[in-house]
Amino acid sequence: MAQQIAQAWTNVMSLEVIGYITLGLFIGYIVGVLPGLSRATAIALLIPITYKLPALAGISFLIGVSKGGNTGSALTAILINVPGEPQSVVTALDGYPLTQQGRAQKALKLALAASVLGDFLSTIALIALAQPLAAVAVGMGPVELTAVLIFAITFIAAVSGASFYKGLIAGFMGLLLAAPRLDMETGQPRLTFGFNDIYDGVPLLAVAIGTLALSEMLVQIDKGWRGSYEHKSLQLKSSTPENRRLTPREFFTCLPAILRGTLVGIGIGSIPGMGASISSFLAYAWTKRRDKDPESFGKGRLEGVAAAEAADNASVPAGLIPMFAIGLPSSASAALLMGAFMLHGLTPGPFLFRDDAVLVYAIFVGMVVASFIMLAMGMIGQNLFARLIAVSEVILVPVIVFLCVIGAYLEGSGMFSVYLMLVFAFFGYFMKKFDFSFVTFLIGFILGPMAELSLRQAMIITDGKITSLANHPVALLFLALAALSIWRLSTFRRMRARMGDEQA
Amino acid sequence: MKPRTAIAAAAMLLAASLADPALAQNFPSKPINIIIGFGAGGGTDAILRAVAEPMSKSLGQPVLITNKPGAGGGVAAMEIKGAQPDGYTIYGGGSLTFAFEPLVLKTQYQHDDFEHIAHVSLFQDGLFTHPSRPYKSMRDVINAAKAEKRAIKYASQYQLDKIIFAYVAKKEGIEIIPVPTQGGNGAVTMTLANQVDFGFSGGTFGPHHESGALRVIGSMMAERMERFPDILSMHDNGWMVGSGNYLTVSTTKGTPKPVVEKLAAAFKEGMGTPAVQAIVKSRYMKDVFIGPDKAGEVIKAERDKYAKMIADQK
Repeated sequence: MAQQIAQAWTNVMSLEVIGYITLGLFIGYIVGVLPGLSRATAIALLIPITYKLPALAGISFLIGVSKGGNTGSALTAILINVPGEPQSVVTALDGYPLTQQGRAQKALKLALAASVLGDFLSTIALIALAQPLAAVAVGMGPVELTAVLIFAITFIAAVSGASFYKGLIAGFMGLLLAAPRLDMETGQPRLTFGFNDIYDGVPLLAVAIGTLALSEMLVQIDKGWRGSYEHKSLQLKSSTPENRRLTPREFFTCLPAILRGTLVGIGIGSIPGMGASISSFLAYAWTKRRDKDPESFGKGRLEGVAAAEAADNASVPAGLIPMFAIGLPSSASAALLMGAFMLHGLTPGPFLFRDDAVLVYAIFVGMVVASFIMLAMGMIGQNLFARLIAVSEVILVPVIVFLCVIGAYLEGSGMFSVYLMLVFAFFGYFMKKFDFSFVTFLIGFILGPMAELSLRQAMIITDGKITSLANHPVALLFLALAALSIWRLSTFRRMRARMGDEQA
Repeated sequence: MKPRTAIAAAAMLLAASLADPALAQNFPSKPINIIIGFGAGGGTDAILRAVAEPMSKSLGQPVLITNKPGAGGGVAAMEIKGAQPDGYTIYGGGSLTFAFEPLVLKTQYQHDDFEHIAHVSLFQDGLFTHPSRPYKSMRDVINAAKAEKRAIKYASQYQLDKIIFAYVAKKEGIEIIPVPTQGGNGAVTMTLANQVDFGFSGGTFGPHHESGALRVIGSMMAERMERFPDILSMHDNGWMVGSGNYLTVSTTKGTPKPVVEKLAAAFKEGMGTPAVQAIVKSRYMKDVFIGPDKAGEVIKAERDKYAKMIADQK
């Protein structure tokens, strides 16, 4: 194993890989700053670029986008009280008051430090936990895997989105969309309507770019027509030099808040469907409760920003734990990353450690390196990135629509994918309007073939007898958990609804 | 669009036939693309990536690799079919894509829509079981199932294995149920987890055989595996069926002969390098080389064999 890690290290330390990680972080940062362009959207748009890259460079690039996006989103939250990503709502609670007090740069520097530290520690947790969990998961047969997948889909439906039923409907729509392909037993085309292009399933990028990116542009265009674009002025000036600096003392006062945030981010972030919003919300609440002066939160406390940002960023690497360990994506962006793995011919999950250990370790090493690059990039570029806030939708929307078309075309089925993407853009637009969960939809779509395969394997192996489940206690446990999540999780749903957003 | 393409193709062909020797001399004047019909990480991918390096050197142009998995190599095959017939776009993958897939799937290509450059090695499909099961041969599996009056379950990957074991089931008067899995990796995983009586794969089982996690009990081919001369083949068991999958490289129909021959020579030289030979060996593949003069015929013969196998089922 030491030898594999050494090999992984060498693979990462090439100009190409480091270059793509940096580029990914850079693009991610920009995406985070630009309101209305979410992390998942950006990943969907950028997957086609990774086609021609080696797997390591391509995947590190996308993880970079994911990490950068989370860090960048703090900028808009702090400076103009507009969260670049839903989870930055919590950062804005204390961040924006700090800006109003003329302490914007201090807040930004603290946010960066908390982000990087949260991200770094969480990456270490991912490295430490993923492989042992994978080792347990390897022993799972198709019966157990089917039960885990049923649990995952019901649980994600229960915790993401405002309504459990809408979540479940979205999940099943995803599963349904995964059905057209060559049947895995008979090898014959199924629901393909004569299109050879979907013999291996509906193309992922047409679906992802359509439902996530282009539909969002439709929403923006819609907004523009109603004349409701908002533009806020930027107050980047700090009143005095000491309000511009972050002193070591201030940093150490905030350290407990950062560590709390990190812990919550890792714990909550690694549970499928929970993700960044809930973890930053909980970390903030925890820090506030433990403080001597909880009343001062919301009026410009550095600890508030620190806890929220640490939790927010810690949830990104933690969110990859279930993906690496059992092949289960925990959020829309993790689902897309999993799609990117598959496009490179790799299946994330326990066997990836067995079949391609060096690649997995190299991705981990790349993630650690990314933490440091992120720190440097933030220190040098924060003020520059902040200027992007002023970019108008009138410029942004056409550029992104153009990128959507190119991205879908690059997938390989030519104009077929582009037309398909247009259809899914309207589908996604109405999903947004009617508040159906994208996360559940995408995860259903990506897990669909895997769920079908393991269900059909399980049916054959158990001779289709339901009583034989008695020989599979682990499967029974997960089925019971699935039932429990349907029954009990209304509390999370209400909490979600209160926060009024959906995590992406 | 169509007439224009046809005219362009005709013009290309004419130009090609007039300028044959010169074209081969100048070939290649730009990078060559090998499109692999299967995912990264498999045997096909490992070997072709290794071959690309010496080929880039001998041809003096970069040889680039792209993976376009899907429809048993059919997605990549279609890309080659539609490419310019100039030898710059090459399919890399299993011969079954040409010899078998069109028989069971409505493909938009046939085996003779291509110039087959060469078969560069032969996959050795082996049958294996979990070592906790007492079977030493396929005959043991069948006898055990007969004695216990139960069906045999095996890790299936595609249509060909289903046809082969449907034949065996009929011949032996026993039920053999395919459990669907994906690729050699899926079959190995399923067998490692001891969920089936046996599984099969190309070289994927190699490391597990060596570590003792799997036991080899047969060859799924008509002949025995080179690596396991004492393990019985399908024919040895009295079953007149078998798989046979070459690692094949093909290009667009109408590519000038000298270009095809130049490519074949470069592949042959590349396959002979120690780095490539090491992979061929570690993947339990058989080192064969069938050049452009025979490659097409071999595919035709394989195809006829499978067509008969399918017809006999009905």
